[in-house]
Amino acid sequence: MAEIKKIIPNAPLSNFRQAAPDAGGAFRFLAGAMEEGYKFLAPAAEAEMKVHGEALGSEIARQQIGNPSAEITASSMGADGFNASLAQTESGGNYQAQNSEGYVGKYQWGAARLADFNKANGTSITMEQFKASGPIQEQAQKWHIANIDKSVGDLVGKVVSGVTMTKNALRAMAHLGGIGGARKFVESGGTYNPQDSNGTSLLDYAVTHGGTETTASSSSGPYAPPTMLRDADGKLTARLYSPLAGPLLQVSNAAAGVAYQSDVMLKGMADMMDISNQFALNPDGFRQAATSYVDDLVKAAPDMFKGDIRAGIEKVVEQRFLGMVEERQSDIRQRAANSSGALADRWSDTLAQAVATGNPDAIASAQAELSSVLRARETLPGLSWTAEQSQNMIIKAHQEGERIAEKAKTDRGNKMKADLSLISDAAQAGRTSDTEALLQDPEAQALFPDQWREAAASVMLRDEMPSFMKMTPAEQQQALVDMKAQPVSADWEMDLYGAAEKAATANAAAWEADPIKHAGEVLTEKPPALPTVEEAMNQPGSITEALAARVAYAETLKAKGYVDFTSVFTDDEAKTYGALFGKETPPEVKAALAGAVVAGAGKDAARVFKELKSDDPVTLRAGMLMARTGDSVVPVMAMNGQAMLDQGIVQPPQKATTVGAVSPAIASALGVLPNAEAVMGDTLKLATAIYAYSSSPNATDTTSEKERMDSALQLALGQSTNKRGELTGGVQTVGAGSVLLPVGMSGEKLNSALETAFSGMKQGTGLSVGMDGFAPTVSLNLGASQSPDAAKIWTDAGAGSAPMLGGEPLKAEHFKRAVLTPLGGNMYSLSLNVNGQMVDVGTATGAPFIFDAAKLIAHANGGVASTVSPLAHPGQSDGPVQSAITQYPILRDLGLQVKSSIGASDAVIEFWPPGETGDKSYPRPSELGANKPGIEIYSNKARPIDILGDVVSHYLVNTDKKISGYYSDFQKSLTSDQHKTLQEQYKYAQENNGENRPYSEWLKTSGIPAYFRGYAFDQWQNPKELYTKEQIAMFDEMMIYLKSAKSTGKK
Amino acid sequence: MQALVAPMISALAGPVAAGTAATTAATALQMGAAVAGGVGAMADAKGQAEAAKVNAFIGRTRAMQTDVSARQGLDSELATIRATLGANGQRPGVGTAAVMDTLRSVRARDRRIEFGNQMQLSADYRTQGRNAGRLGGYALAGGLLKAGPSLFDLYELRKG
Repeated sequence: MAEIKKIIPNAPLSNFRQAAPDAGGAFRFLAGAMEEGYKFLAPAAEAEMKVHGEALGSEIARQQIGNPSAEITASSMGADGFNASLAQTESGGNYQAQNSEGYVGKYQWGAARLADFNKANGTSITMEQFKASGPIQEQAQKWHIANIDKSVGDLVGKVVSGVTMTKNALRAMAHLGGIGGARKFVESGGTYNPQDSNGTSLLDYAVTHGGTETTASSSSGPYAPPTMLRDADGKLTARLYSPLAGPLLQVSNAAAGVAYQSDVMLKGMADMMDISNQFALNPDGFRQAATSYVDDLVKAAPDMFKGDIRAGIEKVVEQRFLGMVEERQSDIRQRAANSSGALADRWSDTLAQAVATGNPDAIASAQAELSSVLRARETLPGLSWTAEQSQNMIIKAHQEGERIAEKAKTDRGNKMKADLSLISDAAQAGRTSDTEALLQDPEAQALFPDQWREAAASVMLRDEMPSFMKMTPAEQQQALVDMKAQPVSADWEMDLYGAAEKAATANAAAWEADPIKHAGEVLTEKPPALPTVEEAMNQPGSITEALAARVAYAETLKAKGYVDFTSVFTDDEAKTYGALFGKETPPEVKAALAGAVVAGAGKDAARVFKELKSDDPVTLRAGMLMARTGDSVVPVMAMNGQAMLDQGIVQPPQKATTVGAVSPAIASALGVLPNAEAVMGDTLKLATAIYAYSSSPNATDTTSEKERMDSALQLALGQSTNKRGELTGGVQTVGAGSVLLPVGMSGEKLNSALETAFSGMKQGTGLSVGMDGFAPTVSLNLGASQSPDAAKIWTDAGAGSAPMLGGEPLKAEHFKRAVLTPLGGNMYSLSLNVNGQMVDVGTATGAPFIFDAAKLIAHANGGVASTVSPLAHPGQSDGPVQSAITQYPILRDLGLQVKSSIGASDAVIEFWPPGETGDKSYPRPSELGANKPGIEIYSNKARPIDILGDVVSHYLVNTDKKISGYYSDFQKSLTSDQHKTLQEQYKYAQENNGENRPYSEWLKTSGIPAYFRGYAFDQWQNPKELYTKEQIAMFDEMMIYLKSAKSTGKK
Repeated sequence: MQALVAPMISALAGPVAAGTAATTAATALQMGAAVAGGVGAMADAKGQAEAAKVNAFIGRTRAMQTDVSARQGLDSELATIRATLGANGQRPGVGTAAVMDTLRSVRARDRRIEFGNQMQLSADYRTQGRNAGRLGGYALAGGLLKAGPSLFDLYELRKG
């Protein structure tokens, strides 16, 4: 069968779609772009979350354990923090608080707000219930805050008056001023800002409680604050990201964990150190405290960190515990070492002391103790003390002991030496050292034989010759000579002589250096005390008597031969009293003091002033002037003038730089004095002060500066005018030149007396004087001999003969060439001015020609030395007489003469009326002129009033009419009792004083005058008992008369 | 979808602290990528489904066209045979009838097979389209699902 072949036409068929439409490409692109963006941001986000997490972790740690540098603010604590802050300002946290306006509780709620709460919550709480219950208040506050947040939450973030309205700020304002008030404040832009009764405004409250709360969007810091959530336990914790969150957030979680853990660990370790410091050296206490601390820490930690924190901190606790154990052990070791060292030192000292004493028992005991301590020391752990060191310590203790013993020996030797020296010194001063028993110590004698012998000899001298120290230097020398003359039979005699010689030398030096002080040390009769500076300042008069007594004492010292000069003050007193006359003392006080000194020291006042060591020469010079002249006017002028100069009130004269510049005559007169420079300098100063006073604005002197200065110089030199109108003292022209005259001496009179004396000399035929080389040669052509009277005048004037030159007497015409040179007092030497050359005149024996100017004048006046005041006589102890004359004007013109015979009699003074010659055994002293009353002073206890008493009772009763009346009245008024007393006195005098005159004569010359003086002149003790009232009244009246009146001198 | 994502990001980013801005942005981008990826996949599947639908329809048409074409071919073959026989003078007889029957049955079998194939293809495309549509839905859901963790992170961040 034929095959049927298939014939297939090309059938047209629909074709399938080969490609699907591309939908969703844009989204794929978007997805891809986002994916790329994520990849780009992921690392940054990761880092960010790490930082964020760390901050969060640290914050949690801080909240749990605290961190002073990162305080959790109220705002960051949420509503609780706000409430705490609010409670603090409202009530201080007191639930029971209630104020005067009825606001109560911790948050100070009012009734209106409580009603709101009741209404909102369907409760009916009363104010009392509210106040009583803390929980109710807290619950209500919670509602209150929530209510506020809800009502004004939309205002958060607004800025009013520069304050950002945080949630807390709005809460605070709403609490203070109500919700409406808070809203009104914000919406008014701060214009509505009322204050409460305490003056707190809404804005204030917003600022106080608003804190720095920030929202996330306005955060100023790099991190958002953690969100605080309350956990199941009611505690606030910072929220971490969910564990289910993506890897980025997990980074934060992990970082927070690490940060939290590290912070907690760090703080924990720091706290461990603190705790361990609190439990220093007490590891167990530390462990207990630390364990408790760790428990608390772990309990508070988030669960996931609990294990790690406990493990970490406990490791630290354990390390610290071990460290503390080590510290304690080290401390114990150190204490043991120290205590052992101290014990060793102590016993070492004890051993040294024992060795020093040499007591074998004590040494053995101390050494045993020391060894025992040292053995214990050797066994101490950690100290490495060796047996060799122990041995060294014992050896050193022994050496130290020997050294101490040696030193003690030396010390004792030194002390012994010092004691022996003290014994010597004390004995030589007539005193006893309390260490004198040392002389009995054979050791002292053996160790210091020389010193011992000296001390023993000094003591012997004191004990055997008690009077030796009281002898005058001359007597001591004589005693030494006597001792030397004695044959020596033993060593001690030589020692005694040596001691005496040494004592005599020291004594002589002491008398020379400070006689008054030395007298106070060695003499039985001590120098009369002077008033203190304060007493003297307040009562210048107090010086007078004390100084008079002191001057008399000084005179006695001189009279007895202790010294050959008069020194009134000790060196110390001179300084102290000198200060009284210093520049600080007002002039009137100085004047008063100077007056008192003059009154007390009399004519010695000048020397007293010289002795004083003052920084004000003018005052002293003025005082001396006062002493010399007895006149206080010029000195007071000088003192005031000096004060003016010191204060700059007046200026010193410009040109008066030297005495010569003012007055060449005065300068030449002073130039011949031995210490011319000093005298001129001092005189110029004094004159300047006087000048200053006369130049004061108050002065009316109109003479020229030069004249005034010249006159001031003369005043300074003591010039004045006597009652006859004669110029006395100062520098005057006598003979051929200007001469310094003593106070009170008339230059005119001296000149005429000199002329008279010369006129008796033979008239000569001429005089020629030539120069041969440098030595003057004089040849005289002599004529007839002088008149016989001439030589007598000169002899009476104290010169040995008539003035001679070249073996021949001077002639009458030489008067014109006569130049006098003052030698002190009234004594002058005579020389001749031959063509400008001074030629010394001598006596017949060739001695310098020296004469007494006063006597010369007296002779010229017919033998009356009336012009010379007793004050002008130097070298006589008439201090009390001078004082008496100063104090009692009645004595002034009597021409009283004085002789000092201190110690010559047991009496105090003796009055010699004119004409009284005395008897053979006790004649009138030649120094007292026969026709003038005289006083002889025997004791330095003589007072001015004693002088007055004697003069009155022995002399003025006869010469003064008024006193004569008093005396006869007294004699008549004597009672029989008083007569009996007189008889008893006569009997006593007979028995004790060798009185041998008949009673009637005694009564007349001694008895009644003494009775007359007893009360009036303060010479008897308790005198009033011995007188009648009338007599006493009469004496008082008489004393007033004596103090005020000048004697008429006539009966 | 874009309208949905943008406000979500801004809403979340707002309160989150400035300090976590990078993290917020990264997380938001991650979430956006997931969502956008899902949406893209869904759109792609939709396109696939549409193409498959079209192809299914074309397949059906092709099946019919194949059937028609096969029938027409048989008719023309039979006619050719008859013409040939006629031309040969052969009278249709039993023999010829049998050949023609056989031819008919062979050609009918071939035609049915071809038609069935084309119909099967169409059905495959239809299935493919349905699958793609379903896949698109799942892709969207998957994208949203992938954005979930990021959204949670954003929430966490916002909580702070």
